[in-house]
Amino acid sequence: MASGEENILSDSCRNYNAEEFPAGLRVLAVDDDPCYLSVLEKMLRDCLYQVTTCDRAKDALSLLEEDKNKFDLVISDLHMPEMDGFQLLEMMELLDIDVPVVIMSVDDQKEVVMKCILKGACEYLAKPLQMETIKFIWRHVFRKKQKCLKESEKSTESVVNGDNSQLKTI
Amino acid sequence: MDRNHPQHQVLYMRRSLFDQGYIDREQFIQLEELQDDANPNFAEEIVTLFYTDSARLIQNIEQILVNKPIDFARLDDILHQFKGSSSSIGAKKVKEACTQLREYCCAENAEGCMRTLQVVKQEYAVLKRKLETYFQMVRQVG
Repeated sequence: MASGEENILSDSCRNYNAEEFPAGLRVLAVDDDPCYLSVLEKMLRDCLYQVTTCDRAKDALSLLEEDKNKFDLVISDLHMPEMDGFQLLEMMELLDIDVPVVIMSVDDQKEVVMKCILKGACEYLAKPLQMETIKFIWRHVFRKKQKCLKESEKSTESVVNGDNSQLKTI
Repeated sequence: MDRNHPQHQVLYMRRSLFDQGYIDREQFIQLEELQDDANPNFAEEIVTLFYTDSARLIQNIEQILVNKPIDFARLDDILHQFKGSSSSIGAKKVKEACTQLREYCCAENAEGCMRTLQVVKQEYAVLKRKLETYFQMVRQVG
C-alpha cells in the first residue's frame, strides 16, 4: 500500500493497523432477524472485521451517537419494526453521523433501491449477501476516507499560501 | 453410489434437498462453508434458529388472521421477515409460499391468505422434518 494511502487510514482509523486493512474494519451490523444477523456476523468475522451487532435500529443509533468514531461502516437491514433502515439513515444525517451505510433487503424493487441511495446509503445489497460481496464492502470506507482527505487538503491549501512542507504533515 | 453406506446416504439426502427444490444449493453451501473448528455445527445452529423464528412468525400470522378486521399492513411486515429468515438458510419452498401469501395480503384477500397460510405451514413442516433427519445423519457420520 502506498504511503499516501496509509496516512489516510492511520489518521482516521486509529483503532486498527493500517497495514492490515481491511482486517479490523469496525462494522456495526443491524438486523431484527436473529437468523440472518447470526449468518451476517459470522461472514463479517470471517473477513476479519470487528463486528458489533444490534437487533434494533434504535440501539445502533445510540451506539453511533455515543461515539461515531467507533465504527467504520454500518450495514443495516431495511425493513425493521420501530425504526427502519430509511429512518436510521435520516437520523444519522440529522445528527451528522457520516459513517458509510450499506442497506440490505430481501426487497429488490427499483424504487426502493433508489429511495435508499437518495437517502444517503452508499450501497444497496439484496439478501442473502454473498461472501464475495462482503469481502469488498471496505471500499466504501476507503472511498470516504479519501474524500475526507481531499476536502481537508483543499481547505488547507486556501489557508496556506503554496507552502508545500505544510501539506505533507496532513 | 451405495445408498446403504451412511456417508453416501448423507450426500444423497443433501442432493435431493437441492434437486427437489426444498433448499437453495448456493445458500446452503455458503452456510456450510462458514463452519470451522470453532463453529463445527454452524449450519445446524442457524437452521435451529430458523425453526424458532418460523414458529414465532407462523403464530403471529395466525393471530393476525383470527382478528377482525385483519391488519394486512402488519401481516405484510411479518411476511417480509419470514421471507428474510427463509432466505438466510435457502428455504426455497417456504419462501415461495410466503411470497404467494404476501400477494393475497397486498390484495387484502382474507380467504386467500388463510388458504395460503396452510401451504406455508405445510412446506415449513416438511422442510423441518427433512432437515432434522439430515442433520441427525450428519452427526451420526461425524
